[in-house]
Amino acid sequence: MGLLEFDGEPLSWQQLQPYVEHVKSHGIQQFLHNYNRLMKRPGDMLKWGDEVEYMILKFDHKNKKVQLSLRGEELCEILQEKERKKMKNLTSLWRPEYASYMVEGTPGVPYLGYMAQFNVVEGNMRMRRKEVQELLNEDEQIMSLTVFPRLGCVNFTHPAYDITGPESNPVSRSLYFPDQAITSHPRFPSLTRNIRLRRGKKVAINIPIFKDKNTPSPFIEQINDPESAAGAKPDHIYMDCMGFGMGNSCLQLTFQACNIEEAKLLYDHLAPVCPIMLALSAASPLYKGYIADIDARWQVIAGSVDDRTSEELGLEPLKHNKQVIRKSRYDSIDSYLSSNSKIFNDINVEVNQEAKSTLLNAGIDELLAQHIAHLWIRDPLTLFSKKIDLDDENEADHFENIQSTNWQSMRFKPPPPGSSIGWRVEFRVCEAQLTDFENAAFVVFIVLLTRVILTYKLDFLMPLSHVDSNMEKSQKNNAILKEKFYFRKNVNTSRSPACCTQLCSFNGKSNDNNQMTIDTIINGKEDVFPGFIPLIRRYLDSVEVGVEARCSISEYLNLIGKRASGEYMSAAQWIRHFVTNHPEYKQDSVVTDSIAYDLLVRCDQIEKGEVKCHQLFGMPRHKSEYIQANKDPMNGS
Amino acid sequence: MERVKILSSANSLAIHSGNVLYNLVMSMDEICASLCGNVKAWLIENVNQPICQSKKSSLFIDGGSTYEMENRDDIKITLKVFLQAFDSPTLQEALDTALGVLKTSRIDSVLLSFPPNNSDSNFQQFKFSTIEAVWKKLESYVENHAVNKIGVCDFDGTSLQDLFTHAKIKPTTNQINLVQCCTPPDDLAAFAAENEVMLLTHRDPTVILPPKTVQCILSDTGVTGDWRPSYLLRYTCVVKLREIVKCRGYLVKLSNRQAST
Repeated sequence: MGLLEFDGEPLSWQQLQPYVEHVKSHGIQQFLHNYNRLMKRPGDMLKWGDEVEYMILKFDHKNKKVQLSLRGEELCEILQEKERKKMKNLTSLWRPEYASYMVEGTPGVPYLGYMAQFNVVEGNMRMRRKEVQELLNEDEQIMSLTVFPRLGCVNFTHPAYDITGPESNPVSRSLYFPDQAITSHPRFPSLTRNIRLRRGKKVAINIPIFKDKNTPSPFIEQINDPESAAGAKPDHIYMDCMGFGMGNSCLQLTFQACNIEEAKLLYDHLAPVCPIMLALSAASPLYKGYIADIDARWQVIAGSVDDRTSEELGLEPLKHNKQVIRKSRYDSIDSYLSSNSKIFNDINVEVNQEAKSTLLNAGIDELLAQHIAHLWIRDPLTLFSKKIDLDDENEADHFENIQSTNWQSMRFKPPPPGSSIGWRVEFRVCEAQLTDFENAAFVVFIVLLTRVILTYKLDFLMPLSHVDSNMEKSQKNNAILKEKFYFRKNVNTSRSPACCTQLCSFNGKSNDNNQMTIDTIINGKEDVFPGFIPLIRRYLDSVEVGVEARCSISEYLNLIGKRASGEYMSAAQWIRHFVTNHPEYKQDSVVTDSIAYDLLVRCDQIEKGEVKCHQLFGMPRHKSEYIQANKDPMNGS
Repeated sequence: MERVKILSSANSLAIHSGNVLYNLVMSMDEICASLCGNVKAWLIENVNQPICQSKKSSLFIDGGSTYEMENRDDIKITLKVFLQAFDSPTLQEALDTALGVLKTSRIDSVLLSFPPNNSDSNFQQFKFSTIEAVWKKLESYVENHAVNKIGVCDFDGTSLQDLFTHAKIKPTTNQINLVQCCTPPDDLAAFAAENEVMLLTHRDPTVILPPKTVQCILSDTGVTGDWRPSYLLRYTCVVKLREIVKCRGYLVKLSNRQAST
């Protein structure tokens, strides 16, 4: 997505209804035109980039209180100036995000496929942070925090807004999250309102509370609104709007594959990696001022944009809707794309039959047609009055409309029309880490893993039902050390015909031998599994890596390896530990203003390097520097 | 076993591993794992080509194919040659054999690793006079456009400066071992930066071909003789701008000091 521009007025939910099928059928046509033009794009190079979402915090040091500063939009305006002036070779690009206390930063130009690039990631992230920090007031800080601990508590924003009931917030009808904290670009309030209207009621997110010694049992929140009271469950933290999910930050990365087949392959083989990386990057144990019994945000966001009606949820007989749908628009993927992967598509994939037949008739292969038709079970949630009738051959807005509101663990991205960009895959599960060092480590690790998958032709495929089961486990409290995950033992299949080894090495669903700890998956275990890190090290021995890049990469692998083995704590476990050991904590699961203040001051100090935090990442020996890669990537030819 | 006799009386034996990229034997020494089975396979005669080279009793066992390059320009081929002596005919033989098995007329980069003179350190000292003959041989490949870039391994700052000063064709890279330490010595880093010599990294042991590796290669074969390595060569083929490795393999040459002739 470029700069968020829009044409005309956003249609209300009522106005949008007559156009739902229009958007869907033209979206399919736009996909087909694009596909036919671009399916044979030859040999694109590797390009990749990360996206980090940041929050702006305001510290009141006198009263030991932290708020989210609703200045994201005005900051973004300033941050985008250079891009608006069409200046080239920018360090970074900026986008507004859902909440007006957020900004999203990416590198100004994509990284390329050579090793020295791994040494500029962290430096670029530091520059980004600095760019924002320079625009902030003295009491404000930019932080890459996944979830603000007291999101939705009284006065959690600055400026603060009084909420007296659902009528205070006409867009979301939330009792906790002011509409003013939603970015004002019409896309965001429209999405919020229309998800609620489509669903027929407010979203209801219920997250199990961490039961401590003095936590009331059952734990029941005081709610003075019938709709909310009906949605809240005992022993759960209740949240009631899109902001609780989309107001969280994450760390994503996108890479360009050399062609459509490679993009499908990476999409498939990275899907089983998603739960593993979600567990490893887990950074969010606190919600709405309480300690939760989960470590990662995934199910919170899934609930926050769940626009399924009671019929689609299976609570009422189907009358107005076409089918029961198992997952929210935001969730893990439901089908693999490569023909070799087909036998592992073992979960029910709801499809839009009409879309599927159109795609099949146009010659799209079965699995890709199924994938698109699965995305197409969702309705468009926004539409702008001047963007209704489009040139299907040269525009893709209707396609993007549905595609970009299917927020799944992996995203398969066709080349946008009229650009030089190739087939891309997006890896979307990681939580944002506190420091640039950690964020860079996760990004570099995953890009290296893609090179390892392609180099050794590794096979990570497993039944998607197992991937889903892993997804559930990965969000649990201390999943890294407490849970075991399904993973293939035999990932090396390049010597035998793919389908044969796949069948041989995976003996049915109930085989416990296929469950491993994250330590085994990441660090390997003799005679059990080679391990991602040993595979990456082995790969690095076959490519040209300069001293600087190698040292940075070593530190990154060291971090990931030790997070997996438990030697270092995940951000989630560290935060949990900090709160439960705080002198003011009363063993009642409550994160008070001053506990949150002390926590976030400490996080800020760690990020700035003022306080060393051995528990989180030891003492990295090497810091990547921001250096423009001075070597021509084409060297050697 | 006719072939055991032929081999036991041979002067030398060169072995090509073929592409070993997909042999993911994580716990074993890769060189052993790559070359071990080849001699045995040849001896039991299920490999059909005892390629006897021009000279009598110089055997070559080709253990497999490499990677079929559709477009040579997309691929970067790198060789690392571990010499056991400062001997230029050996280098020539190693390079020519590699060009042959890779079916190419052009190598992108050749790195030379000389026998270490200080096995306690990751950095070695070499006088230009010691390596001059070998380096000149390597330069001749550049002049004939068979090799694009040339470099060395594990040179300390002084040695790199000495080579750089005296060589007609300058080294573009120095590949160093940084397993224990993240920062190269200051003088080396400074000289490399000033003269645009790339410092690359490796994890190879200081002694790459210990006697046990040679034993491993000939184990369970019944072959007799006093076999010593004369070179080891590793090649890699990497897709440019995608950093995907397509091929990795070894060539080793052993000489028999007890050959009957």
